[in-house]
Amino acid sequence: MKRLLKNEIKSTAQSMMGIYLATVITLAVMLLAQLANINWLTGVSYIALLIVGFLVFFVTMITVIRNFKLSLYGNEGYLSYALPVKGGTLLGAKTIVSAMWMLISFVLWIGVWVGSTAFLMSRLEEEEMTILEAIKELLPMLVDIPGTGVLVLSVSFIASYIFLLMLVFVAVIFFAITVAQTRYFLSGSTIWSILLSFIIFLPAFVVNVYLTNNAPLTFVITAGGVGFIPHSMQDARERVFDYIETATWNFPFGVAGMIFMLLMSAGLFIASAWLMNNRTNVK
Amino acid sequence: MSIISVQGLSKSYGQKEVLKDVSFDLEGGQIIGLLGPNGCGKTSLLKILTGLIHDYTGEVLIDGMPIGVESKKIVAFLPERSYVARWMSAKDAIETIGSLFDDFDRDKAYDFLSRFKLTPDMKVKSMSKGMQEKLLLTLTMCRDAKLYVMDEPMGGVDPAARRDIKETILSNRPKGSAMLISTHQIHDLEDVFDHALMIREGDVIANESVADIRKSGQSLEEYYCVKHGIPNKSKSAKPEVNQTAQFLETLRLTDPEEYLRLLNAQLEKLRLNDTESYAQLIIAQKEGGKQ
Repeated sequence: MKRLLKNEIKSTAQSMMGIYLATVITLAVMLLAQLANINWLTGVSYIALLIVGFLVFFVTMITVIRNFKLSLYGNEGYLSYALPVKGGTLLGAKTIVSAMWMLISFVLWIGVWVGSTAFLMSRLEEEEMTILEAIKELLPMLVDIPGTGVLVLSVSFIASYIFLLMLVFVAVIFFAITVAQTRYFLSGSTIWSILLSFIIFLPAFVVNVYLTNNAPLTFVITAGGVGFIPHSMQDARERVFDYIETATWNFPFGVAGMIFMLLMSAGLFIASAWLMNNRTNVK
Repeated sequence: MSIISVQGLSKSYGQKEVLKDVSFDLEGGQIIGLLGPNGCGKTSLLKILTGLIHDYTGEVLIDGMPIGVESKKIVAFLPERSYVARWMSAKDAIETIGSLFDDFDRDKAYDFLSRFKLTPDMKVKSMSKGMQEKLLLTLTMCRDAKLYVMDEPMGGVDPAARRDIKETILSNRPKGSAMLISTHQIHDLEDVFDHALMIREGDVIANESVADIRKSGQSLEEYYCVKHGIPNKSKSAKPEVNQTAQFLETLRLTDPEEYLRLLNAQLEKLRLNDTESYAQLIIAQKEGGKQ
């Protein structure tokens, strides 16, 4: 597994480094433009940074999916499938490395948005301030959150949820690509993998939204602490005081949808590994 | 124990059945030619043996083991297509394979590169088809495997590269290992094979030792033509054979030394490729001497 991971990182790094480098260069241009007081260049590079920040996220998803398809079912599949490892190990290595790149890109994406906006604020304020000071100014403006601890907790929770959705999306696509390499889908496997991804992901997302809103299991972050409430997300805001008395501010989130998505991802992972061991064909 | 044992193997792509209830056993320690025209099911069979195709019916065993992690440890595969990423250099490819297979000999691989006039920093994308084939051969032959599976190792390369590839295959095969080489260019590898497995439209039509084929007075190519119902080109080549015989007879009379040198070379070739015929020849020679 360790050797597989190392090779997986090496082969995918080729694709990822380009977009990371573009981010760093754009960031450097923006900082240099500010130091040199070239306002138009600062503005242009700020917009460029926002675009690159979005591209990082987009390119990562494309790279992860493309690498999975080509390294298993393109020419490189002749090596991957001839390796003395089980399908699950191969899939595990690819999933871990994909998750790693997605996490790095996600953090970078958020960092670029928060950092560049704070940077812009620091330029617009009448009094000069550092970027860190600007971030401290910026965050309470976005939401009326009591205290940094609650804020960090809420942001971390939302970020984790978005990251989980990305992972689920990738698990669905990996599964769809694998199914498309079996007997009945082999001709037109690319089209089938796109179709199957939508066929699986859309209903799953609807179920996720339904369970998140209606299932009686809600995680709540409040000014007085965190906890689980056995009520739907819609009712939780009113019932939270029954459980946490000091919940003057609260942020409820139905977690049944998350659990469903996690279980579904695990199921798709197991099914993909089984198909890789028993049903797939490398063209 | 057979190195490859196949019982009732069938494989279809949609409605098309590419392997039809195929059964055969192949003994280890020999070079086996998997012969047949394009599209007869050779590549599908090799993909099944190497674990690239899982969707088939029947039983396939490699050295007594079903296809899986253990069987893949003893099989080195040279596919028809290059699996090395185009951005990689020859060194990257060697290091990658070296890190993935415990039986891979890196030093031997670098020796191969210099023998093939390839440099470690040469990128795959800048290599010709012949160079890529040599790199793949390096990656395959530098493993200490029990079974080497090669799919058209000489496909699409020039005669000089074909000669290099053939020499490398012959001189670097570990003792006791078996090779299964798929080709439809029999002429190039005819003298290499110990055994021939012929496939036609998904059926095994011959599973014979090359020595037995030759005993019947046919070359492997002639036998292949007969089995596949192809008009025998060798008959039209007979005048050439006659010319060669006349040449040898003239040589025997005019230059006995050169004649002996040629004769010894041919005997040596026979000794290496057809031990049984060679032994019969020696016995006949001794008996002739006694008389």
